[in-house]
Amino acid sequence: MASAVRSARLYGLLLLADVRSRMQYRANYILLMITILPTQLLTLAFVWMLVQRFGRINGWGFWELAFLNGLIRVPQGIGYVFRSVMFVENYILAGTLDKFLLRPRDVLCQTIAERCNFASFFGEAVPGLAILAASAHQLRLAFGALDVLYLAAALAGGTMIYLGLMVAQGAACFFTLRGSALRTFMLTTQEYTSYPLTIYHPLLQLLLTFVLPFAFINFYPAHHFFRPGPAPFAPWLAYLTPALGAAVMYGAWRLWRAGLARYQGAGS
Amino acid sequence: MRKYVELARRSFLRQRMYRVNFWLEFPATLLRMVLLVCLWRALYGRLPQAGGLTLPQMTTYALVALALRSTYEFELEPLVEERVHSGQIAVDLLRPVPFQLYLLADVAGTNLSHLLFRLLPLGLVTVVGFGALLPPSWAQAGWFLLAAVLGFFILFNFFYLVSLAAFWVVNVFAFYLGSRLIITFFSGAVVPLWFFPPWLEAVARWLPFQFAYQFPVSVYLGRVTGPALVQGLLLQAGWGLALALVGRAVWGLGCRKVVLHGG
Repeated sequence: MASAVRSARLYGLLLLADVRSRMQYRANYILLMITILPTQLLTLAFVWMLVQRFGRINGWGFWELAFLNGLIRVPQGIGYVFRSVMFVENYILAGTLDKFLLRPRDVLCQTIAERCNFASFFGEAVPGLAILAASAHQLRLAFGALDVLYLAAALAGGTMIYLGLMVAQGAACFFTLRGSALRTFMLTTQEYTSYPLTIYHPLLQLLLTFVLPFAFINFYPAHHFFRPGPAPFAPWLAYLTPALGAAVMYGAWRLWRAGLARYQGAGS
Repeated sequence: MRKYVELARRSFLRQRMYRVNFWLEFPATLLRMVLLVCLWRALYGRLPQAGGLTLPQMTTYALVALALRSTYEFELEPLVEERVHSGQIAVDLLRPVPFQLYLLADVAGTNLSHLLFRLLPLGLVTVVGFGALLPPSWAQAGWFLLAAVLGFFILFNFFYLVSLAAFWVVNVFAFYLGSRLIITFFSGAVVPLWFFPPWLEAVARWLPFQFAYQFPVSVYLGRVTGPALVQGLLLQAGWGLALALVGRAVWGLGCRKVVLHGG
């Protein structure tokens, strides 16, 4: 535990240093944040056009879908700050990982600090919150204290699921030396999480719930608020998101340790 | 010409060494295809047609567009940025071939490899596995390939132009993201322009990006034939050349900037 706290502090320092160095080219950095924003709104624009043309999608109108969208934006925006963990094979091939191993600090911490992507926090997670607020307002959701608590827990759990999957993909690099299909799937999350799970074939629902638990990040929590139809599998799945987040994080950490133990260098 | 063919051949062969990467992503691509089919099926519901397309036509559109997206590969921005930063660009200036054509040959080799080893297998999966429609005739299939090649030419020149931003800004990543955004939106790669609100469709019609995806896929479906086909192909070539010339001019401006910095 003490080492985790030390790593977190170290990461914080490195993150600050990274932001400071990037702020040397301030206009460039701000431009980057401004460009990330419309990239996030793109999917929403497509959703809007499709709803305009085809009407509600399985009982979900535009603002319900926007809420669904906001629920994935926040975890993804936070997750992308640590984006470099998904590309561990680059560090393996360049020998950077050997450098990490020689230092008396945690390797995972050094990997995520090598290239911070703090812009995505402001460019994606913050607008995600705004989208959530806007759609809650439009739908006139009557938020009680319990609802707010649930939403916060779901966002935290969703973020942990996303982070866990990212670390798992990074750990996969140790085994394949090339990344895995999971990465492509994670880089295109918005393509399939922007629509309700119920439109997919039952086998896919099974896959997105129990194998790659993306549905727990946004679908089940959003469904919990709107209930536009019976929930796939069980309605109480919506309450599992926080616990599942912790479990995925733990599993990913174990996988990362196992991968690192197996690492023998790229021979370069 | 021989030197360009040789350049293209080399990058083609280089791709053959890295082919594992694509097959590693193959399951993810398949999954994305299944998800697309489900999405359009849910959207259509019991509608017989929308935007003039039946459901089988629309799923074919979506699948062929995705296959094209997985085929085209342009990573010019990081490449040019790295060369400007490291000073390697000075060496590129000394080469007996213009940088733009050098890159074109290089990227053409990569994409030719992707055409054979990505587009063909993905197309096969689309038709056999997902029951996508075939082009109405062999001739139309040939026109589709030509339109896809011209689409490649437009995209290359557009991304080349964007990559030249490296002469003026320190980090081109914002331009990289922005250009991808514009392409994804205005090309009809995800949602065809027929489903755009009229005013937005009008904007998209005046831009070259529809010729990168929507036009080739429409040719595949046989929705564009005869004079419209010829006109479209000519417009594609025209846009490609126009962008190429602008790129050439901007390169000239950028080079002046490099000289100012010194070696």
